[in-house]
Formats: sequence, C-alpha cells, structure tokens
Amino acid sequence: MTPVIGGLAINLALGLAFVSIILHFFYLRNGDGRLFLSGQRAALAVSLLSILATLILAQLLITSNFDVDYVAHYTSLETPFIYKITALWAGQSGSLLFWLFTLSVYAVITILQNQRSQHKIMPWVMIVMTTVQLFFLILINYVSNPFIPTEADFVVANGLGLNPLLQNITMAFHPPMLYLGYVGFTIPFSFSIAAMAERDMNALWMRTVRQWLLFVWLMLSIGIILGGWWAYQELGWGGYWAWDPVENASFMPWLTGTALLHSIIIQEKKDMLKVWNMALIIITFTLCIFGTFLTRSGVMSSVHSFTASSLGPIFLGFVFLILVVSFLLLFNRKSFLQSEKRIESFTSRESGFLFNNVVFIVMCFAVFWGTIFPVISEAVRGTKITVGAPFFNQVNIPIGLVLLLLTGVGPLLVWRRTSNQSFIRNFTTPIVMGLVSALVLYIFNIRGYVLISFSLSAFVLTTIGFEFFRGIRSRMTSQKENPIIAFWRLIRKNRSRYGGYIVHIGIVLMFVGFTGHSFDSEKEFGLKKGDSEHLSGYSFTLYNVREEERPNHYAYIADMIVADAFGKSIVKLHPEKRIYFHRNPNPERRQPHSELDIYSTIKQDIYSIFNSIDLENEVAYLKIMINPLVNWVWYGGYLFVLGTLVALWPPRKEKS
Amino acid sequence: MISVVVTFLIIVVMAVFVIQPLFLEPGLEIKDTEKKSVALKQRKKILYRQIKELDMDYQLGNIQDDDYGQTRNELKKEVAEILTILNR
Repeated sequence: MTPVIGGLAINLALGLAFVSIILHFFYLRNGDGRLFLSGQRAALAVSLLSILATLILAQLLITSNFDVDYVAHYTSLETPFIYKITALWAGQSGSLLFWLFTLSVYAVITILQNQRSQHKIMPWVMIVMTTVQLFFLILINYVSNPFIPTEADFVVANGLGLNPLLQNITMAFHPPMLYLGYVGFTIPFSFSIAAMAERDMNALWMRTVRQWLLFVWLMLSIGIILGGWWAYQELGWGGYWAWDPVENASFMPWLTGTALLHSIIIQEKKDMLKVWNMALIIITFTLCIFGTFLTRSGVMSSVHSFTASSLGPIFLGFVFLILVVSFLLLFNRKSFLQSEKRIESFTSRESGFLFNNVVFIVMCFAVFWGTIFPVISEAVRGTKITVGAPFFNQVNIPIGLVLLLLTGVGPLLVWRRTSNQSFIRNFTTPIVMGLVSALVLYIFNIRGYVLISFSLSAFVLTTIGFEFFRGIRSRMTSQKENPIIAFWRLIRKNRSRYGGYIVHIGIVLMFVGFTGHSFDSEKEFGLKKGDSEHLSGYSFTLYNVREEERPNHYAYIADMIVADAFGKSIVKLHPEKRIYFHRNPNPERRQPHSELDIYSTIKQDIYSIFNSIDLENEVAYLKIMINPLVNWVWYGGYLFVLGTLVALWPPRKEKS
Repeated sequence: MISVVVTFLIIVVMAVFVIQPLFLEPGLEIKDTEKKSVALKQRKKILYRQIKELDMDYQLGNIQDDDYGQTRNELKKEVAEILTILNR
C-alpha cells in the first residue's frame, strides 16, 4: 500500500506546486488576499506531501520492502538498521527525494517564520522556492522515481545491499549536512530575488538573509569536513581531499558563500556592495544546483558519486534558467541596488574585505575550470583530458596562502583608511612574529610553501591574539574587569566579531594540518606471522591474522604491534580485509573492502591498510602511511564550528 | 481497498486545505499583522549594534577620529529619525 501512497504524494505535490506558483502570480497581479492565502497553503501542502513521501520511502527501506526497486537495489536483509536509513540518500532517486525533503522542511520553516511579516516579498519568496521544488518534483516524477516497483512476476527474496563504502557511520551525517547547506542556500536566494523583484530590501530582509546564510554555510562547512573525515577513514589512500569533482562541487559554493559572508558585513555597515552581494548569492545558489548536477549526473567519475544517469541536460537547463532570469533581474534593478558610497582607500578594511572576496572568486573559478575541463575537452577535442590533484594544488596553494595572509591582514586594517601610525602600531608585532618563525624554519632547513604556510600561520595567530589582547585590555581599563571576565564578556558582547576570529584560528590550524601533508611517508610490504618491517623509525610486527564472520561481511584481521625506535611497543593496530555480500552465491557480487586502522596523535597518524591476503602462502599484504599533523585539520574543524556557533548564537533580548 | 481510501482521503484533505481560503470574503487584503514598525525596530537594533561596534573599533584604534565622529553622528541621526517615527 505505502509505495502507492508515496507515488501519489509526489504526484499531488507536483500538481500543487504549479497551483501555488499560479495563485501567487495572480495575487501579485490583482492583490486579492484570498489568492495569496490559497497559494501559500498550496506551497505548504507541496512541502508536507514531499515530507510524507520521504518518510514513506524511509519506512519501505526499514521494513525491507523489496517490492520497490529502490529498496531492492540499495538494501538487503543483512543491512544494519542505521544503513537502511542512510540508503535513503545512497541512490539517485532517493537522494533527489532527500533534496526535496530538505527544501520542504526549509519551506515550512520559512512560511511559519514569516506568517506575520514580510508579506510584500513573501509571494516572490514562495514562487522561487516552489519553482525549485517543482524542478525536483518533475525529476522525481518523470525521470528518477524512487517508488517504481520491481519487475512484475518476479519476487525479490533479498536486496542487493548497500555499497560497503557507504557503510560507515560518517555517512549518516555527512550527506544530510551537505544537503542542509546546499539546499539551504535556496532561502537567501529566494529572499534576494524577492527583494529585487519588489525593490524592498529593509532591515528584516538583512536579518533573514544573514542568519540563514550563516546557518547554511555552517552546515555546508560541517558537511565538507565530515566528507574529508569519511574519505580519510574509509577510502584508504591516506588523504582527506583529492580535488575530486564531487568534492569540488561542495567546495565551490562554500568559497562564494564565504566571500558573501564577508562582503555582506560591508553592506550592513556601510551600505555598499549590494550589487556584488546579489551576484554572489545568485552564483552561490547556482553552484549548489551545479554541484547536485555534478554529483548526480554521472558526467564526472568520482569516488563520492555512486550513481550515473541522464539527468545532466535537465540540470544544466535549470542552471542556465536560474542564471539568465536572476542576472536579468539584477541588471534591471541595478540602479535600485547601487550605493552612493565608494571605497576611499586601498589600505582600508573595506578594501581588505573586497580583496578577500576577489581572491575567493578567483579560487572558485580555478576550481570550476579544473573541474569542468575534462568535459569541455571531450566536447571540443573528442578526448577527455583529466585534470588531477597536481593542477589544483599548483593553482590553489598560492591562492590559499594569499587568503591566509588576508585572514591576518583584514582585522588589522582600519575602516575607511589606515594611517601610517595605525599601520605601524598594528602590523609590527605580527610581522616580527611571522619573520621570526620563517627564520627558525629556515634554520631547520624548511623551504618553499611549507615555510610560507607555517610563517603565515604564525603571523595570523599573532594578529588574532593581538585583537583579543587589545579587546581584553580595553575592557579591563573601561569596565574594571579582571582578564578572565573581560575575555568572557568580550566574546559574549561581540559574538559575531570574536566568533569570526575563532573561525579564523580554526582555519589557521587547518592550514597547519594541510601543510603537514608535505612530510607524509608510506611503505607497502607483505608479512608472514612474526615478520617485521620498518618505516620512519617505527617497526611493524605482524603477530596474528584472524578470520571472523559477521552479519553482513566476512573479515580477515591483521594484528600488528607498532614499536618505536627503542623497541618500545606503542600501539596494536588491526586493519581488516572484508568481503561484503560473502554469502552471495555469485562470486562477482562479493565485494572486497579494506577497513583501516589508524593510530592518531597530535603529532601524526599511523595509518594502516590491509591490502590483500595470500591464503596459500599465509602472507598479509599491508600498507603503512605516516601522516604528520592530520589531526590539526580536525581540531581546526572543531574550532571552526565552535566559532560559527558563537557568531550564530542569538544575543540576549535587549532591555527596553 | 485501504490504499484507495487513504488516497481519496489525502486528495480531499489537501483540496479542502488549499481551496478553503478562496471561499473567504472577496477582496481580502493581506497586511503584515505584526506592526509595520517591526522593520524599523529591526533597523534600530542594527544601528544600536553598529554604534556599539563603532565605539569598540574606536577604543581598539580601528577607526580614525574624524571618521568615528562622522559615522557615529550619521548613525545617531538615523536612530533619532526612527525613534521619532516610532513615537508618533
């Protein structure tokens, strides 16, 4: 029964989406409030039906209803409960439905939040949001329907099961976070189109857009960090970022979103850069749709893409439509958005923000070009020229270092113009710290980007420390507070500013972690029981190989002792070679998978992979990697999230 | 049979939910039921915050004397205008 109702829900939602858009347009023409109310209810019904359809699919997955093709493809009886739920976004049609589900939840919140206000722009907001929902409903109804039954006259006793790579707990959080970010950009986009359409950009608009921007940017950031964590824990190549097209797809809107978060401060404070900000919102949202296209179209091969399909042209058409309509509207409303104020000096904080924006956009373009180049080369020359990590690293490392430099320079610049006196006072200590770090690193024979990255990190940390110091000192003097109270109140009373600085500290820690990659070392070898191998001053002794049969796989486990240069045992590692679907009578359906074991410290990770096993000769083939400073990336990530939460935390209600 | 009943129920409930407002009195005007001053109050809040941040920037030496005075006066002037409207 339930698949039928799921199918009905998405059918009905499709029809109501049309109805809602038409009713809102009629309301805008003749101002009859009944049409507005009815249109809004239709929009609400679209969202509720989409949510219902998603819950039905989840229920079908949990109950292993193999009468539905999607369920039979992505789960089996052995699939653990949690992965039956995560199978919701494992396949194409399910993930499209999940996109729609997320947008529908956002749409319901938007409607409820604005029931008593912003009625002037709300019809346009609803038109834009429902149009995006309509696009996904068309795809789900006509191109990739998750409720399609399995072939008639064919009873499926058991499903094919979930891809082993997706059977990792991070996968329960990484895609939903990414979706919350990607999809969430629809809200600022809708409000911006609405504000332009109605020529109404008041303080409520600014509050709505800023709060949503920060929230969805945080979700996207967490999604990206979790994706890196998953790749590091699961893919077994020892890294967390490979400039894979799907990774880039999430990184591009993050870059433009980050630029926007900075430039919108200028709009709020100085009433400048409004055209630029609108353009950034449009580009960021378009990149979110483009990212979904990259992930779901199968046009790029990716370690993160688990589907291939013919969705490409439809998505590209939608991307084109968004760009044309939005930029035409922006062009038409240029005079409304233009500001009378101008940036007065190159050495002003406004310039710093603008320069930071330009660098973010340049980086985004570099990533975009590298990502789509294989497709363009294939279309133009008939051969797919793959652009690998070396290209991205070569282009983006210097750009990233410029961004790191600006992270430090920005807070030291003064609004409107920085006088020579301020310049000397603000920059002397951080520059000295940066130079001293560079000198020490040079003495220890460190050169190139590594030297620049670590020195810039020292420079930026000093500038942020300096900012905290000046703030605390100011409170201690003016409010007569002790340093701890002054520190606490400084952050509490200036959440967005100091939350931002905490995010910047997180970024610096991440750069330190990225730079640690330059010192990676690795070795592959075969070991018999009792044999040892050495790498970077550590010895690895295989003392046992065990076998275990588990509910959804069969595992070979290599038990190793890791000892330091003095022979002292540090840790035992147990990487596994797993065979998923091992009970499947068809050997081709059985999937081998390496489950890693990692010994993680602040200094480095010892990363062990069980590549294969020679049962006849009793040899285990292993790979060991020593990855310095990887943990700094995750620590930076925690601070990054903490800082954003500080900035997002609502201030206490002001006393009247 | 159950699926037919549930399908029918969903369609009816949704149809009534969406169509019902069309049977209200014609010419219904949609107004922000929250006071119109809400946007002004929000703007006032932003301005107060900006003044606070400006003062802090001044204390930290992030803004020059003339710019500080001019910007603070502009912000205060806008606050005064908003307060005048709100007090009417």
